[in-house]
Amino acid sequence: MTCDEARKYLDAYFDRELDLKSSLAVEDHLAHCEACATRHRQLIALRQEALAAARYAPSAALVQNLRTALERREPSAPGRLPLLRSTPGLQIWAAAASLAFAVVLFWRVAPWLGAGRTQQRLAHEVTAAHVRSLMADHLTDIGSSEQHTVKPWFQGKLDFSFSVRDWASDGFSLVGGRLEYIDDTNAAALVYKSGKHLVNLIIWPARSSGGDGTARKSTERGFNTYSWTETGMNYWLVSDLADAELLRFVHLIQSENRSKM
Amino acid sequence: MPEKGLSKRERIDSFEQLCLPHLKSAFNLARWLTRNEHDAEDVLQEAYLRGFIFFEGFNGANARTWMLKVVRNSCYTWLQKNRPSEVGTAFDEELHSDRAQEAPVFGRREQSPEESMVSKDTGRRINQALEALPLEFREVFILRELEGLTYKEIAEVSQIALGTVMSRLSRARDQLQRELARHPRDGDQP
Repeated sequence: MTCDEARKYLDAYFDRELDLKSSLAVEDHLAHCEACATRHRQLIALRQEALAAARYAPSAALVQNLRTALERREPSAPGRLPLLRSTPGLQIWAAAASLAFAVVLFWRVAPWLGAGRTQQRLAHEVTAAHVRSLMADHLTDIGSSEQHTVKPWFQGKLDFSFSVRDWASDGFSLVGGRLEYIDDTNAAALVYKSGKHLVNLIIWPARSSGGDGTARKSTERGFNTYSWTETGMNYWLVSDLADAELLRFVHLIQSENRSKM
Repeated sequence: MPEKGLSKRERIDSFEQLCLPHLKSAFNLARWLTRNEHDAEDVLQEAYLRGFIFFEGFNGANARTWMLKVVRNSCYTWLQKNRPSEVGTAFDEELHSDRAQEAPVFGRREQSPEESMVSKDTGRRINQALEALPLEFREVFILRELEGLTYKEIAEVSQIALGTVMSRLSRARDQLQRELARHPRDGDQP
């Protein structure tokens, strides 16, 4: 292999993109060509330097905005039902039935409009955040079981304070912390592990000072959630953990909060 | 793959499940191409929406390269519109193979005070050297070294021939080498 050829193939060789025969030829050339060997060493050094290059990450606000943008911009496209379309009789029947159903549903749902809708929206947001965090690389921004590492990490990133505790001796080990963006506000997420289950505890300042601390339960897409407001902060727990266990965690956190009051 | 007859919520969930794992890579690429966080966010919003609209046509092959391709295109569209002088400054080796001329070096962007405080000396040097690379060279280098794409994947994301990937990468490395040598670490000989 000539120097010109080796020079041409050197990057591909360095990136392991060359076939075996050509790789061996390059290696053979490098063994007795100082100029090309120098260039090879430079490539290695450059790769080393590039390890320190910035890997920029999107803010939690952006991630949230991306989802909202889809939900807002996407025109409603209800699922198509080919059977209905091709059978006029069925169509009329289905229309009448859905109207009747809608009327019934409205009267059932009406008392919950307002506060209920907010609660439902939050449950959906918090669950979506939980699901997103389960994807690779999204679980924690700061991975540590040390509360004295996790709590200070949030300082300077959030303008509110909250306590961070590892509940390992009670069956809930602290995995780390993460920034979240819920209800148009910066929020803190603390991640815990209970057996094989991951639990997200999401905390953010409440808008109003109300909140008697009663925990409300709901299920969203199969996940269990508990939420309550106390001392001016909203708390949401979400997990696929069994309801009774999650409730036990609620009580642990609540009694800790109250013992500090 | 996206099926017909799914509800709006299901289609959004389906799209998100495919794209969210690659969001960091996508943002990193947008940030390096636009060299500005705010602009990168704008481009990513645009790309995300565009990706969702074209989602129906996604055939299920490598989701990461698909998403990076959409983001890369959106970056170029955005740059073409807002900073056209930055696009197309890298000389294509295949067109100008007889020229030994170096591609123009971008002015080093002034670091914000926050960036100066946060980055270590080594990181700062390579970051500034990378920002000084012409767009097309910076692009292939980021995709190879930071995102770990194969030549074939880079060719797909950037919509260029394999040979062009190789020549741009080689020239990017040459230029970075020279740039780093011009700005040695404290204590190094220039």
